[in-house]
Amino acid sequence: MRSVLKTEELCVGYGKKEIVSGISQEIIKGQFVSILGPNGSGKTTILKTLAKVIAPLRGRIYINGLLLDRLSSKEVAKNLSVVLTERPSPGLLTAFEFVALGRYPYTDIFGRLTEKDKEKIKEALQLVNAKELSERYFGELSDGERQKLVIARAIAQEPEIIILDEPTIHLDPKNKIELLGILYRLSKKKGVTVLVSLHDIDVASRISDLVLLVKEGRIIDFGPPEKVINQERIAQLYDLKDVHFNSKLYTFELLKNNKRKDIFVIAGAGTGTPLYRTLLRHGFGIVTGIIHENDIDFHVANSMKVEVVSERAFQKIGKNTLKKAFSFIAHAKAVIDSDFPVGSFNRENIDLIHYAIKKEKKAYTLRKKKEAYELYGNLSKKLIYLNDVYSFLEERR
Amino acid sequence: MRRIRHTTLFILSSILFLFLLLINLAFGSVHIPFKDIFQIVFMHSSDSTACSIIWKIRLPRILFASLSGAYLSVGGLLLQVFFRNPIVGPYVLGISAGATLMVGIVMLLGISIGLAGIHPFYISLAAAFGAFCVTALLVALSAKVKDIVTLLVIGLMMGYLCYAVTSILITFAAKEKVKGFVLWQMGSFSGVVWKEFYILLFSALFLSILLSIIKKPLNAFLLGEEYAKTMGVNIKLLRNLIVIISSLLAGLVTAFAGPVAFIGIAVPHMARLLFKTSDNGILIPASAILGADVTVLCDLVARLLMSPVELPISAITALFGAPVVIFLLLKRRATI
Amino acid sequence: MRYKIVILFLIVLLSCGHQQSSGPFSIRYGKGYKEITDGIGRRFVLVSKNTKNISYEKSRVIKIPIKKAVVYSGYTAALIKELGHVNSIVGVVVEKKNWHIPEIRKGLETGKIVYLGEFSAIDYEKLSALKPDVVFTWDEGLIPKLEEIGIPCVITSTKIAPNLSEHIRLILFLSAFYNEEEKAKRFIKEQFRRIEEISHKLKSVSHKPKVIWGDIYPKKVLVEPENSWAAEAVRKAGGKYLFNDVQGASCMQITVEKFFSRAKDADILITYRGPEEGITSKKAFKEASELLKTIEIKPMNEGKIYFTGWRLWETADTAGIIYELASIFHPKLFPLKKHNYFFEIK
Repeated sequence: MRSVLKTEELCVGYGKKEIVSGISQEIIKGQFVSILGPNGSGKTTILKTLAKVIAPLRGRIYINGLLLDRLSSKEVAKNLSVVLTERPSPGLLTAFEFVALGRYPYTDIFGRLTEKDKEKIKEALQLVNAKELSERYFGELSDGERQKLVIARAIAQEPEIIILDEPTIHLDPKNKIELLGILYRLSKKKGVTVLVSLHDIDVASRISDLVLLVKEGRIIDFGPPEKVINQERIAQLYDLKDVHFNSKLYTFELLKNNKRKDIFVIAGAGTGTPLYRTLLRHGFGIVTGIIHENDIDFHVANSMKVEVVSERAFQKIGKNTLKKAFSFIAHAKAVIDSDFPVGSFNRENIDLIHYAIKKEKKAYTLRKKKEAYELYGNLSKKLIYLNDVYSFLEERR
Repeated sequence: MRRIRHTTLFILSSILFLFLLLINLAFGSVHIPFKDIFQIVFMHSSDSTACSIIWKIRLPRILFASLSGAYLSVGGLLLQVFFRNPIVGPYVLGISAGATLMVGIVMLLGISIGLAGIHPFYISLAAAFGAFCVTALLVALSAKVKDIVTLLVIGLMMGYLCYAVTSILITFAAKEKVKGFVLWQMGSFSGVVWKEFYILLFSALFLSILLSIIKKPLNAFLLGEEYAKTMGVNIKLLRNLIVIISSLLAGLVTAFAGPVAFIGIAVPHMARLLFKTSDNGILIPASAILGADVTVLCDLVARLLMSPVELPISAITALFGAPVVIFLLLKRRATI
Repeated sequence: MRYKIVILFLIVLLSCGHQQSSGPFSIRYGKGYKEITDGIGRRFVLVSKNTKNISYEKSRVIKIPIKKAVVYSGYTAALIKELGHVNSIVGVVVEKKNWHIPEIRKGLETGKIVYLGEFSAIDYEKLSALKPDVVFTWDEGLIPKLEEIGIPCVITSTKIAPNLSEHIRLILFLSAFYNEEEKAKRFIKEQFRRIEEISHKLKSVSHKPKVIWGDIYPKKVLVEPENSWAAEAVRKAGGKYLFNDVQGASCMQITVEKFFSRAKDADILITYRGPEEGITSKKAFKEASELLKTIEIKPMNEGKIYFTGWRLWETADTAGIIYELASIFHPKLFPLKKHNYFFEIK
């Protein structure tokens, strides 16, 4: 467990203006470290200081136990490579030539590439799945392809540490995931320490070994995501009020439940999630059940502040739970059957439909008629059949 | 594939250069038969007038013009890469204006030496010094001002400033002196002498060493200053080298031939668009050879079009070169 | 067809009046008025003080004889002086130190003549306050503003360099403004008579010295074109002008090799660059021009170099200039006591 990057009482900023101070952290080889924080919190300043682009105001930085100040820029370049937010526009360079720039610290004074250099460049291109781009012009490529090459260039520099400042910004989800995958493999397979600033808390929390939270010039927390990332911390970090962060799913929910609980959604196994979103978006007040606590619908509903009638994981639905559900249905105007799979743990949900019809509530179902007949028998004739949730919206209008 | 393209282009432009050299040598306002030219060049013999014209007037002019073209183009290229802007050149950044001002001070304020008026050497010195001052100031400012457009505007303003002072000098100078100065301002390769060519040639040896070294950090600079820093480029050293090289390149030519417009801004574009690369390892020699081609051709036109009346070289370079650059730009695929 | 008739009609009409012209300048005499055409073909009507109701644009009507004139060029001033009306000059655009006509120097000193500023930026306020009857200028850029102010602006130069005859005859054009045509004609006649006299004497001469007229700058050469009056004066004075293939409106920059191929055999070089540029001797000349160190031209060695300056432009006596040239080319035939226009640089 070798320390690769270490800071002591580091203070970063421009000129006399301190931006972030009191940074004393340590990162070991091969770790994937994310920096999270709102825009303008000083993430970029920290990264640029660590990369020796700007000088620290106070404190010390050690790379592999050596003081950064003492290293020449060439030695730093051999240990550490950087991907900045600034998008390079090298004009008419091919992808290969672009990645070859990463060999700068290794080539001779005339910049000639040896066979070994070429090997490293090809390897880097391979690593980012961009081998086929090699002869194309950088300027002709898509944002995603360019970003891959930017990273390939950083890899070609053979660093121990790679610092990336918001590398996924401007990328579509596919490229974003692919790119982070590349970085993840880099840290786990090649043992390169990755230090990256991100805006995607969900992704960061999933792949990072360590997360650094920066806010208004202060490090508010540093540690493994399981410890650091929770509703409270994230709300504090981004000053969130109406937004809910789910620390188990690492997702945000913007939607909030109406206070009236007019509609009871019978759900489970994720079938409820799209219903909750659509109904809440259209201003309905909902309550859902009966869902086990290990069900995705449970977490989603929770993060949307939807009341859930729930049962403990892997337990049969108990009498009290059922009673609670009945009472909600009694107060509701309608019931929706979300086409949840029925198993031995949640058979009681079928009783909810029976109860609703008995109470002369409107009962909707997303199931096919034949399937509904098999489940509910003759009662199925009293159900209102929906193709999708939108036909429900039509119906209620 | 690209290597083949580059090699072919290099060979073609070199052949073109040799061809242009011959054409330039063969044609002039004084008619000299081909076989005589051959004899004069290789055997130094023939009637003395033709010999003098070839050896003392035509040959130094052709050689000087070709080196000047190479100088101005490479100078323009360096500035374009360094300022990361495709429209800069010694003219745009006020470097030529700086040279003009210094020459104006020498010629118009009449800092003369003895009875002989102003010694030509001092004019050259003044031009080089003026170019150096403006370049140094710009590059120093570029460390402070990160925004390229701002820097460009500063360059333009410096140009105006220099022209303003120059025009005040003109207003107060004696009329006879103004005429000489105005003539100098219209750049031309007329009347260059061997000594001036040798100065250019020897500095070319020195400059090619610097250029072969600067090529590597300049390529890294394609990614921007911060990236270059993280790759181990010594930015301070690079800045200083750029000042020295580009002011030498622009200053030496301006010193001997007066301000020559357009070559410095246009030829790097031609090189980039023909060779389809931004790799300075290719672009530096490509700009040099293309610059020589274009300049020698333009000089031929300037000499012959209205012969024996000579046209200002800057008029020809722009008239001939601007449409070429526009054409190439419209055809290009990627941005510069 | 219709056009042709109109044009034909116009030609007939124009040829009706008694007309005199030299180059682009022309005067047509009508009843109680004169219609003149200036150097760029603009027409003016000159009317006597008591003529009324001429339906012509105001800025194109000039009441004559004129009493107040603004003058741009030294030659125009010299011709007006020759006509005996130097007192009519009230404004100039050349500083006092650059004038050599004594009356104008004196006028500038006493304030009788106003310096209107350099030609590149003349003071229109002073000019309009001066209320001249006419402005004689070579600067066409002046026309729009002066038409607006309502001051007639007559162009005394032409698009091409004037030949010798035009150069001399300019006085006739100017004389129309002063009703001094007779004086002008006598003067022209006398000029041509003297030139003819020189030609006559030269008939016996077989050897003509080769002459070049122009300026050698450190790296560039400018020469008088073949069509200039200077070149013609050289020919009239019995010299052989060497740049007969150069055309232009003023001194033209030519290629060094062309210059060399001619100048190497020239006997005489006439140049405008002289002591004021530090060229006081052949040695100094060579020192100031990188070019002259490279190429050997005869005038620098056994040939002769003459410097000429302002006097050439501030005299009406063109025949005198030609005589002086002839005396340089053929000293035995044309004795001369004192040089007025050309001074040898040794």
